[in-house]
Amino acid sequence: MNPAVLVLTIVSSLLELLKQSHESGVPLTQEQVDAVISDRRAASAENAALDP
Amino acid sequence: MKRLIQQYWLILAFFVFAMYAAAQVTGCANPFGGTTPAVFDSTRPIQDRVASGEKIYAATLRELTVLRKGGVITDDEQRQIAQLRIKADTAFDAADMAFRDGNNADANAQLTLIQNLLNELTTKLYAAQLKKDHK
Repeated sequence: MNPAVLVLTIVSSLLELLKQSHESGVPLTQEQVDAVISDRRAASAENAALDP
Repeated sequence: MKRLIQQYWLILAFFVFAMYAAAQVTGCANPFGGTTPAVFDSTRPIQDRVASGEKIYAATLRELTVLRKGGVITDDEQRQIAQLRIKADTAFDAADMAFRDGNNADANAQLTLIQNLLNELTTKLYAAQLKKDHK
Protein backbone atom coordinates (compact mmCIF):
# COMPACT_ATOMS: atom_id res chain seq x y z
CA MET A 1 0.00 0.00 0.00
CA ASN A 2 1.12 3.51 -0.77
CA PRO A 3 2.43 5.09 2.47
CA ALA A 4 0.50 8.29 1.81
CA VAL A 5 -2.76 6.35 1.47
CA LEU A 6 -1.97 4.44 4.65
CA VAL A 7 -1.32 7.64 6.58
CA LEU A 8 -4.50 9.26 5.24
CA THR A 9 -6.55 6.20 6.22
CA ILE A 10 -5.15 6.14 9.73
CA VAL A 11 -5.53 9.89 10.18
CA SER A 12 -9.16 9.84 9.03
CA SER A 13 -9.87 6.99 11.46
CA LEU A 14 -8.29 8.95 14.27
CA LEU A 15 -10.32 12.05 13.39
CA GLU A 16 -13.49 9.96 13.44
CA LEU A 17 -12.48 8.69 16.90
CA LEU A 18 -12.00 12.28 18.10
CA LYS A 19 -15.38 13.26 16.65
CA GLN A 20 -17.08 10.39 18.47
CA SER A 21 -15.25 11.31 21.64
CA HIS A 22 -16.47 14.90 21.34
CA GLU A 23 -20.05 13.79 20.68
CA SER A 24 -19.96 11.56 23.74
CA GLY A 25 -19.26 14.66 25.83
CA VAL A 26 -22.38 16.46 24.57
CA PRO A 27 -25.31 16.27 27.05
CA LEU A 28 -28.31 14.19 25.96
CA THR A 29 -31.50 15.98 24.96
CA GLN A 30 -34.73 15.27 26.84
CA GLU A 31 -36.06 13.45 23.75
CA GLN A 32 -33.01 11.16 23.71
CA VAL A 33 -33.40 10.43 27.41
CA ASP A 34 -37.11 9.67 26.97
CA ALA A 35 -36.33 7.37 24.02
CA VAL A 36 -33.75 5.44 26.07
CA ILE A 37 -36.20 5.07 28.97
CA SER A 38 -39.06 3.83 26.78
CA ASP A 39 -36.74 1.37 25.00
CA ARG A 40 -35.56 0.02 28.37
CA ARG A 41 -39.18 -0.38 29.53
CA ALA A 42 -40.09 -2.14 26.27
CA ALA A 43 -37.17 -4.59 26.66
CA SER A 44 -38.21 -5.24 30.25
CA ALA A 45 -41.83 -5.89 29.24
CA GLU A 46 -40.73 -8.29 26.47
CA ASN A 47 -38.71 -10.27 29.00
CA ALA A 48 -41.43 -10.14 31.66
CA ALA A 49 -43.90 -11.69 29.19
CA LEU A 50 -41.84 -14.90 29.38
CA ASP A 51 -41.90 -15.22 33.18
CA PRO A 52 -43.20 -18.59 34.40
CA MET B 1 10.83 17.51 2.55
CA LYS B 2 10.35 14.45 0.37
CA ARG B 3 12.29 12.42 2.86
CA LEU B 4 10.13 13.70 5.68
CA ILE B 5 6.94 12.71 3.84
CA GLN B 6 8.34 9.25 3.25
CA GLN B 7 8.81 8.84 6.97
CA TYR B 8 5.11 8.45 7.49
CA TRP B 9 5.54 6.99 10.93
CA LEU B 10 6.76 10.35 12.07
CA ILE B 11 3.66 11.99 10.63
CA LEU B 12 1.44 9.37 12.21
CA ALA B 13 3.10 9.88 15.59
CA PHE B 14 2.47 13.60 15.26
CA PHE B 15 -1.24 13.06 14.57
CA VAL B 16 -1.58 10.63 17.47
CA PHE B 17 -0.01 13.21 19.75
CA ALA B 18 -2.24 15.94 18.26
CA MET B 19 -5.35 13.82 18.88
CA TYR B 20 -4.35 13.21 22.48
CA ALA B 21 -3.53 16.88 23.04
CA ALA B 22 -6.83 17.98 21.46
CA ALA B 23 -8.75 15.60 23.71
CA GLN B 24 -6.98 16.98 26.75
CA VAL B 25 -7.50 20.61 25.76
CA THR B 26 -11.19 20.24 24.85
CA GLY B 27 -11.94 18.16 27.93
CA CYS B 28 -13.31 15.29 25.87
CA ALA B 29 -12.85 11.71 26.89
CA ASN B 30 -9.46 10.36 25.89
CA PRO B 31 -9.98 8.80 22.45
CA PHE B 32 -7.36 6.19 23.32
CA GLY B 33 -8.83 5.50 26.71
CA GLY B 34 -10.35 2.09 25.97
CA THR B 35 -13.96 0.98 25.85
CA THR B 36 -15.21 1.32 29.41
CA PRO B 37 -19.00 1.82 29.18
CA ALA B 38 -20.09 5.23 30.50
CA VAL B 39 -22.15 3.60 33.26
CA PHE B 40 -18.91 2.38 34.88
CA ASP B 41 -16.97 5.59 34.15
CA SER B 42 -17.08 7.90 37.17
CA THR B 43 -15.68 10.79 35.11
CA ARG B 44 -18.85 10.98 32.99
CA PRO B 45 -21.97 13.03 33.89
CA ILE B 46 -24.64 11.15 35.88
CA GLN B 47 -27.26 11.41 33.14
CA ASP B 48 -24.88 9.84 30.59
CA ARG B 49 -24.06 7.05 33.03
CA VAL B 50 -27.72 6.24 33.73
CA ALA B 51 -28.58 6.35 30.00
CA SER B 52 -25.61 4.10 29.20
CA GLY B 53 -26.77 1.66 31.88
CA GLU B 54 -30.29 1.66 30.42
CA LYS B 55 -28.97 0.86 26.94
CA ILE B 56 -26.77 -1.99 28.21
CA TYR B 57 -29.63 -3.30 30.35
CA ALA B 58 -32.09 -3.24 27.42
CA ALA B 59 -29.61 -5.02 25.13
CA THR B 60 -28.83 -7.64 27.80
CA LEU B 61 -32.51 -8.27 28.50
CA ARG B 62 -33.24 -8.67 24.78
CA GLU B 63 -30.51 -11.29 24.47
CA LEU B 64 -31.87 -13.07 27.54
CA THR B 65 -35.36 -12.94 26.00
CA VAL B 66 -34.08 -14.64 22.84
CA LEU B 67 -32.40 -17.35 24.91
CA ARG B 68 -35.55 -17.84 26.98
CA LYS B 69 -37.63 -18.20 23.82
CA GLY B 70 -35.09 -20.70 22.55
CA GLY B 71 -35.56 -22.84 25.66
CA VAL B 72 -32.02 -22.24 26.95
CA ILE B 73 -33.18 -20.47 30.11
CA THR B 74 -35.19 -22.63 32.51
CA ASP B 75 -38.19 -21.48 34.57
CA ASP B 76 -36.01 -21.33 37.68
CA GLU B 77 -33.38 -19.21 35.94
CA GLN B 78 -36.09 -16.95 34.54
CA ARG B 79 -37.44 -16.42 38.07
CA GLN B 80 -33.96 -15.28 39.17
CA ILE B 81 -33.74 -12.98 36.14
CA ALA B 82 -37.20 -11.59 36.95
CA GLN B 83 -36.03 -10.68 40.46
CA LEU B 84 -33.00 -8.83 39.06
CA ARG B 85 -35.18 -7.21 36.40
CA ILE B 86 -37.68 -5.86 38.94
CA LYS B 87 -34.86 -4.46 41.08
CA ALA B 88 -33.16 -2.91 38.03
CA ASP B 89 -36.39 -1.34 36.71
CA THR B 90 -37.01 0.20 40.13
CA ALA B 91 -33.42 1.47 40.34
CA PHE B 92 -33.52 2.99 36.85
CA ASP B 93 -36.84 4.74 37.54
CA ALA B 94 -35.48 6.04 40.85
CA ALA B 95 -32.25 7.23 39.20
CA ASP B 96 -34.15 9.01 36.41
CA MET B 97 -36.43 10.67 38.95
CA ALA B 98 -33.54 11.65 41.23
CA PHE B 99 -31.70 13.21 38.30
CA ARG B 100 -34.78 15.19 37.24
CA ASP B 101 -35.20 16.42 40.81
CA GLY B 102 -31.54 17.46 40.90
CA ASN B 103 -30.83 14.95 43.66
CA ASN B 104 -27.39 13.82 42.46
CA ALA B 105 -26.56 12.00 45.69
CA ASP B 106 -29.56 9.71 45.30
CA ALA B 107 -28.90 9.28 41.56
CA ASN B 108 -25.33 8.21 42.40
CA ALA B 109 -26.58 5.73 45.00
CA GLN B 110 -28.97 4.21 42.46
CA LEU B 111 -26.13 4.08 39.95
CA THR B 112 -24.08 1.90 42.28
CA LEU B 113 -27.02 -0.46 42.62
CA ILE B 114 -27.52 -0.42 38.84
CA GLN B 115 -23.86 -1.35 38.26
CA ASN B 116 -24.19 -4.35 40.57
CA LEU B 117 -27.43 -5.48 38.93
CA LEU B 118 -25.92 -5.12 35.46
CA ASN B 119 -22.98 -7.27 36.55
CA GLU B 120 -25.36 -9.94 37.84
CA LEU B 121 -27.50 -9.85 34.71
CA THR B 122 -24.52 -10.07 32.36
CA THR B 123 -23.22 -13.02 34.40
CA LYS B 124 -26.59 -14.73 33.87
CA LEU B 125 -26.37 -13.94 30.16
CA TYR B 126 -22.84 -15.37 29.81
CA ALA B 127 -23.91 -18.51 31.70
CA ALA B 128 -26.92 -18.95 29.40
CA GLN B 129 -24.78 -18.39 26.30
CA LEU B 130 -22.27 -20.97 27.52
CA LYS B 131 -25.09 -23.42 28.13
CA LYS B 132 -26.40 -22.81 24.62
CA ASP B 133 -22.93 -23.32 23.10
CA HIS B 134 -22.51 -26.64 24.92
CA LYS B 135 -25.94 -27.95 23.89
